[in-house]
Amino acid sequence: MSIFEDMVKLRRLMNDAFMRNDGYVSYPLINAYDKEGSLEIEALMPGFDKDKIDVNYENNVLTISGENTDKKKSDEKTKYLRTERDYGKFSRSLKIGVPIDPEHIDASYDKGILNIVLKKSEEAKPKKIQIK
Amino acid sequence: MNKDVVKSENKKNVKINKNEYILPLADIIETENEFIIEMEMPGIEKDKVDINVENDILTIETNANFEDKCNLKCVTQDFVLQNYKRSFNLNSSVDINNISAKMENGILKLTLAKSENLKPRKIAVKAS
Repeated sequence: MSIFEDMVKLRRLMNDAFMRNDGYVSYPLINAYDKEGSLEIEALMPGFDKDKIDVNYENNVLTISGENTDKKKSDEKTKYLRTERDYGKFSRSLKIGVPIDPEHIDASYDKGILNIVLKKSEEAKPKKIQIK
Repeated sequence: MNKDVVKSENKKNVKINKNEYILPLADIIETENEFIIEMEMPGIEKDKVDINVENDILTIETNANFEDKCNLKCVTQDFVLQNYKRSFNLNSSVDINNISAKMENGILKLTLAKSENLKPRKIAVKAS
């Protein structure tokens, strides 16, 4: 094995640990679960107003976008001593690799987590084929 | 536009370690009479949060049970939900009997009244 292969491997491990494969962190952070009959996506987005979150599905691409407007105005009486949270606009698109039914996409927002359930369309469900 | 593909190659194995805590991100805001701490704690119910003050140290700790959902088929995993813990030194700047907490949309908002000696005071000048 060459040293180059080792380096590529190391690089990939580090990307996996800290970033997406293309070298930057995408927000919001998501988990996706492939369940029987549905695909479930959880997006970590604490502190949002649910009316400021948009979920769109078009051409097999699911886009989550929104704006966090939770930040208070600073003036003489209100000042931020420390700001660690992120504010502002964001957008993340996910290509959905399985056929889903666009009429049955459910999204809910609870405890700072956005949950999206995409129902797989009939053709994506496993089928048992009868042998004649 | 860059797109993430939701398919099995993206799977990462992030294991939940029950003894580890996440340090929640916090904003600290000072107003005339209060300090406000806003902490990101997504996934936490309000009754799973313990708030303690001891020796002038404010400690916030959560005790929720998270299932490892990735034993279902997990295709993309950017985060794991774990319990949160963070401490703040109050430096005698807060009236510890006057702390309130509210949980909303995964944000824990603590309102700490400033101790009397920190509050602005207007001193009237008397005519002699």
